[in-house]
Amino acid sequence: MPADLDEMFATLGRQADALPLGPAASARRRGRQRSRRQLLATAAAVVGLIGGGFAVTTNLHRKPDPSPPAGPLPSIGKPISFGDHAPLPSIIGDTAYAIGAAPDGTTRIAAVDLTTGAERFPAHPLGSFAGILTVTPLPQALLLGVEDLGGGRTLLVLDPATGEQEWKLPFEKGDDFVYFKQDLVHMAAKTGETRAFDWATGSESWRQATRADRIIRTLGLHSGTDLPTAEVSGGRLLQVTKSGKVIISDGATGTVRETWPGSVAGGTKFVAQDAKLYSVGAGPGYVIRVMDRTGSRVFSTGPADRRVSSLTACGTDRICVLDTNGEDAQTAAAMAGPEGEVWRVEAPSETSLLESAGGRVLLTGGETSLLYAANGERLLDQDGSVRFLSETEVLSVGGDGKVARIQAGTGERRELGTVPAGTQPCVGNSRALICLSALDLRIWALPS
Amino acid sequence: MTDDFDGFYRDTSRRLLRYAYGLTGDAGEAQDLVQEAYARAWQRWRRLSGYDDPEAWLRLVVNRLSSDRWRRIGVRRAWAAVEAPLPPAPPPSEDTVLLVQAMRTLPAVHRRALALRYLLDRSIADIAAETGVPEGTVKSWLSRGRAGLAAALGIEDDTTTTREGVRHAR
Repeated sequence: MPADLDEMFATLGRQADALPLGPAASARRRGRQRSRRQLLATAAAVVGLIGGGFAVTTNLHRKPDPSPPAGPLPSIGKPISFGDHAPLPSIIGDTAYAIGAAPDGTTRIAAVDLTTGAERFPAHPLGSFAGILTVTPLPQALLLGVEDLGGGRTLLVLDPATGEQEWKLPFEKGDDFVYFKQDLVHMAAKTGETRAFDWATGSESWRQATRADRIIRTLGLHSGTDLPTAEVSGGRLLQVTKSGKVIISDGATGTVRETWPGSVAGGTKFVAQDAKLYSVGAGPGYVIRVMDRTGSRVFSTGPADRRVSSLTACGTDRICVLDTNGEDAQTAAAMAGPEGEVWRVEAPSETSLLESAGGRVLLTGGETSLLYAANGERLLDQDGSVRFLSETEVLSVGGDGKVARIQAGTGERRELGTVPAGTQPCVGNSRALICLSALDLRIWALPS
Repeated sequence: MTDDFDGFYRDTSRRLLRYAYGLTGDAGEAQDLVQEAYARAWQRWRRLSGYDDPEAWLRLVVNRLSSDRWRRIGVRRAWAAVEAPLPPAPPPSEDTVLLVQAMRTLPAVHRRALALRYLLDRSIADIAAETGVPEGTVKSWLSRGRAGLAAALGIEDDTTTTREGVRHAR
């Protein structure tokens, strides 16, 4: 029978000290192999310059810190944990939400008032699921896409004020959702049937009849160069049929307003912005086509043997892509315009997110984040995660735990404070930062 | 750069192995987690070496990997065939086996606090800074962790107050 915990810990420590351990060279070798593997597994971003060779993007003009080092950020509320795994964070307005699995197998939700740190509502279970697929925070609802225990998929529409389920909608892989102010629009990939549901009640607002030329994609027609949002402000629905036709409908009624001439047949990825539809199709490399009410034409072509993994609108008449080399899976980011590729840069390993605001392009999601100007100049090279706060400002959380606001155009940096090193990933707004630590979710207040 | 890293590895890897062993209670897993953490450190050494406390970053990597069973299994599988096997570890003592079993009954935050305090001899203030919680919370974790261990081990929970104000079983 053991008698003394301190002695037992001392024994455990001594036995740990006696364990064999490989040399530093082994760790270095493993690190290099990890790097190669990541390179193979992810895509690098490249942007090309047409008519003038390659844009050089190494002019980093990060300014020296004008603000003194700041101390630890003040916490808001208590850390949130449902067990041994940290829940997923999201923010709607002045409320932070945590959704995650509890040891009893249920998925739970908790919420914290970012102003007071108080519980917004008591943490409670939402049900038992095989997994969480998506969490989408919107002003109207907190959307939770789950895989059911039986293998099906369900979208839970939760009331942001109470965390209670208001209604739910079964869906399947490949279905499209578009979020308007009044309604949620759902397109079933199998049939092309498109229906709109009232946010508050889940009752059907309108339904489009299934067409012989089946709808295969449904998107919201975004407008402007504002921060990317899930909600579509323009009120227009853009749909692509199997034959490549493009139909524009009123998002509030489902009524068809116009059909654009031409075709985007063969397109595999689409982005709709400013009354234009950009599509990516196969070519020797890849072909980006643009379509509007006047017709369809080639917008830009990508280098041979590369394929697009992600694309986004990144300014007026500008499309940005992450593309991947088919041979060794090297990823690059590129900006293209009507004149062709404007610039191309190699992307850091594990880059998973391409985001644009104010004409600037952010590559993030990996261990390093890069921000580029419209002309291909690199504005920021930051260890850790970076997200847009506005068109002109980003919020940076470094791997060393330093949190800063950085002016996107000038690189001017304002230190806000620190969180424990390695606290990633984070979501935030101008007032608060929510991050996953090893086991729980923490919220910190950001100085104004 | 290589010399810097190797020196850092030499100075810190034993402590990280203690920590990993305390969290996992498995010699093979602990060895693997430590190698994986340093492999990740090497990938970003240019930046990491500028951190105030790169060792804390390594512990965070170990925390994350150790708290995710599936990721841990993946890490071990991925490298088992690549690395030359290490010499066999001596078998753990009976007390260590019992302590490891008892540790596994505790919440992860308690395990982490106990490992930092009693295997790495970190102060309450250090643990609070590293975990981002008030010192009172750390004391509570330690106290409850020790009480949980005592209960799991069938030890008398005869509490005394230590130098840091933590009441624990003796």
